[in-house]
Amino acid sequence: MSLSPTPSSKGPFFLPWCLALVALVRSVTQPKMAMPWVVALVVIFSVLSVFYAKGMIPPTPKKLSIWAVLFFMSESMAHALFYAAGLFAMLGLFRSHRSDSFHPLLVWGFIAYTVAQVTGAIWCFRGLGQHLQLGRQASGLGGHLDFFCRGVAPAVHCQMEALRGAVMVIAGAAMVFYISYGHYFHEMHFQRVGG
Amino acid sequence: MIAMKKIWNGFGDIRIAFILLITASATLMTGAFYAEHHFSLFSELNRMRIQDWLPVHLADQPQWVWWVPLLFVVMAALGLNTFICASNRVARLLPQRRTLSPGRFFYLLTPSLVHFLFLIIMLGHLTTFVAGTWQTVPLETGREISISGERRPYRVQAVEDDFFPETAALRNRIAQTTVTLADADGKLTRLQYTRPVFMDSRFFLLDKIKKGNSAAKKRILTATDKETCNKAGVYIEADKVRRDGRQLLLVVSDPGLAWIVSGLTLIMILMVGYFFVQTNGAGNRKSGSVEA
Repeated sequence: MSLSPTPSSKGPFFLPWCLALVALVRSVTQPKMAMPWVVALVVIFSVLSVFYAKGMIPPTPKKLSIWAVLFFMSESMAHALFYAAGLFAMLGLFRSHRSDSFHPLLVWGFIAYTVAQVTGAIWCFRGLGQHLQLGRQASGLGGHLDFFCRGVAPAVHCQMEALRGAVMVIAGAAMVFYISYGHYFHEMHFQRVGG
Repeated sequence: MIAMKKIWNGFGDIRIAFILLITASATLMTGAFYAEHHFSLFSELNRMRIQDWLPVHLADQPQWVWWVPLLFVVMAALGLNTFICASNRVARLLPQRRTLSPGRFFYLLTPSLVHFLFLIIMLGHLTTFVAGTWQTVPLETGREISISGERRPYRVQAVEDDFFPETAALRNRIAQTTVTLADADGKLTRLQYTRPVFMDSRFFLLDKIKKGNSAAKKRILTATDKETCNKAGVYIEADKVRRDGRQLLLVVSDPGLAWIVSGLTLIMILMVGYFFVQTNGAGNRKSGSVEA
């Protein structure tokens, strides 16, 4: 199946939709949660997308794959869940009683990140002949080094409930933001068509 | 015996796992920065076995590649720690198998299974690093190509580029390429981008990655003479005339691939099942936690 990852499935533009979905689901499953804060996240990331470069980086034939679309979408969903978890962990720090409300978000974010690893590995192999491409991610079908790096912080949290702490979750979300938006801003200089 | 047990439990300490994961994260991040600034150097490793690549560059450019052996050491230690943690947990669970229902027992066993699968994935990566082979062969219509390990050559019958429509913003860019190979018996094999063909225990893929400076000259990006991981410019053919030798065939043997993809898929399924049960309250979070 030939399906190109359009800009709408890329992180800067797809992430606000994912966050909106997280807010919607949480508002149904846990109406008492602090939804305005998640909506504020949606607004912040939407504003970032407004200023982001429009158009698409010309896709090579190696990018015209359903696996690429699945990778970008699952990665964005994982990031959205990590940011929401980081937000709730931060809110929890300012409350007197300990709250685990961020835990399910982080767990499902970790699962979405595993989906991204599977789909990314399949896409990478079908396109490049390697399931693990060494190099810093710049074109999507690029490096996996910091992709794994981003996965380690939530792994620390998810795999070690004994060491569970809000600070680790906030640090993980900050790392995800720093690395992923580092790529997005770097890619703003790439040649684009349309938009 | 007591000393052995102390060492075993010491290596399996969850605090060591914490330190190792943070160290792995820091090493990967450091590596990502090095890889960004020395893309050509590290992209070589994508087509070479680690034992062929590392000694050469560790001797010539230790300041850029020092983190690679460190990463292997950290990951090996993490693997050992994970194995001990998961083994200890399974050893504690097994005596309870008669008192627990099969479903409950499997639920409690799931986190340990995930850890064992993680080890299989790491071993799969190690297998790829040390035993994978990547052979690149230039393709030209009408020519015969020899692939190492193949007794008889293939003949390139056709190389056809499909372009995006003239009305599209991506006009003059290649949307897909079809290469037809004929073996000695006349049997035809069609190859396209992202659609590898599995033959004789190897994957055959199309490729267009360039080597050396010629790649940089053909790029249409803003001025820089460094090789880049953004290959958007490689697939443009302004005059639609294919230049000889530009199309490449990549023949890959990756004995670790099946372990990695199967392991990741199983982990995904197990985690979804485990956390779905946990979220719905059927699982006792404390007793079902992954703490070792």
